[in-house]
Amino acid sequence: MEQEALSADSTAESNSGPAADPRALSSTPDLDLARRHRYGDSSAFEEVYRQYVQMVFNLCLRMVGRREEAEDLAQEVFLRIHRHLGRFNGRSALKTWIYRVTINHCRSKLSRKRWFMRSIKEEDEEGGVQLEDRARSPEDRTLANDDARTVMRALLQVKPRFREALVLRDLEGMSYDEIADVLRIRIGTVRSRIARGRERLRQVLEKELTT
Amino acid sequence: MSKPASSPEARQELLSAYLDGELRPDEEKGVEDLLEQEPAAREQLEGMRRVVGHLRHVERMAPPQTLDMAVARRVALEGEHRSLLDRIEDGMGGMSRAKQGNLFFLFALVVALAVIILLFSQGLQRSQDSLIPVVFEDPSKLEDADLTTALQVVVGGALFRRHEGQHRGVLWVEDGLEVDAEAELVLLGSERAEELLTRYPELKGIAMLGHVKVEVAGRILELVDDSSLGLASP
Repeated sequence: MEQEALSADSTAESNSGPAADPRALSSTPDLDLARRHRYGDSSAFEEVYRQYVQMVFNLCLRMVGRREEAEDLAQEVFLRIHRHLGRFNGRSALKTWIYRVTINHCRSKLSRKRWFMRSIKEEDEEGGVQLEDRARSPEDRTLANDDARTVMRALLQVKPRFREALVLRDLEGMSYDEIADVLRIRIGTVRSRIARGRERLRQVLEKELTT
Repeated sequence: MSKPASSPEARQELLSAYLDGELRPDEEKGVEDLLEQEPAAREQLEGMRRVVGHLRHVERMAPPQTLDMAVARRVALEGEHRSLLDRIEDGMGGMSRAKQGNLFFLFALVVALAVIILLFSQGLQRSQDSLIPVVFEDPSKLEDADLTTALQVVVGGALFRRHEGQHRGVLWVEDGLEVDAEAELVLLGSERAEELLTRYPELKGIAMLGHVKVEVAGRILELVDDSSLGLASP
């Protein structure tokens, strides 16, 4: 069953055209990591972990909004990666595959617990460890943090399917092709989800900022 | 303008994709013409640009240090389980072939009995389930319901069988790596489910724990593979 689902990462290939080239370029080192993991080289997983831990944690955080849950989710995601890395077949880039695993795991958790219905508590947000931005003054950073909190609260009010697309586009900086590949949807659907997500976010932010 | 946006949603999509530089040249030209002609469109684009600007204020967080330890611990635990299995297998290596054969035979017998009991009990359960009518609610009503926001799961496949003169099927879902048997309330509102409902008005189904049951009057609906959908004769 797992193998069947793993091979399903090829289904997105029809969604993306020539822009899928980077996958081919990155497939050799990615496959090499998978091969090393398969043959018991523990440093392969460590490399994957080091390379993607920040991406996975932040993606989880953007999806569920709470630091503790994001940490739990990230743990589970890496456990899955550890289990399945050996069977990674290189049809997508490893990064795309990891994004997909993370998003799918978040979806599964969201549908189970409906975390998205909860609002973020202040202490949860304080618990996050912000990367230091030395280019800004402390005052600017405080303002930026307040803004970021407001935006995060608003983002959690956007439906997960639109939120995913927004996070991948506007926070992760992915192209529509890449998003289509991760979410295994058509480009037209990516476009529509991003537009609807932005519109919803605009409405929520408008409300948040006027109250 | 090469092709005017036919609805507010279509216009919104065009403007959003324009902002991302993801339009074809002809679409881009159309949007530029629109922006030149309509102040409302320019305002809409500005609103969108502000939203994107807000999103980019959200900075990346450093993962908590406890995460490294937790992942290492869980991976090690899983490794221990594996090595235990390996040891059991190694231990069996010391037995004579005859003993191994007997052990395998006993094991296979137990498994076969367990499978038979399981299948029998599931058969009983299904025959009881099948008497309960199942109905998909109107997806347009579900659109705004709380639950639908979470229902983003891809249909992974379908199984159909004939039961009491009706075709009854089970669609299952996957969460990327494996069929997720634990997922609750999946599929309602998913694009594939909506597509099925639009395409086959006679289709009825209900969201259940981890899967969706569907009923197709007079026809067998089958997913040929993960990406295509077709009809087979009953």
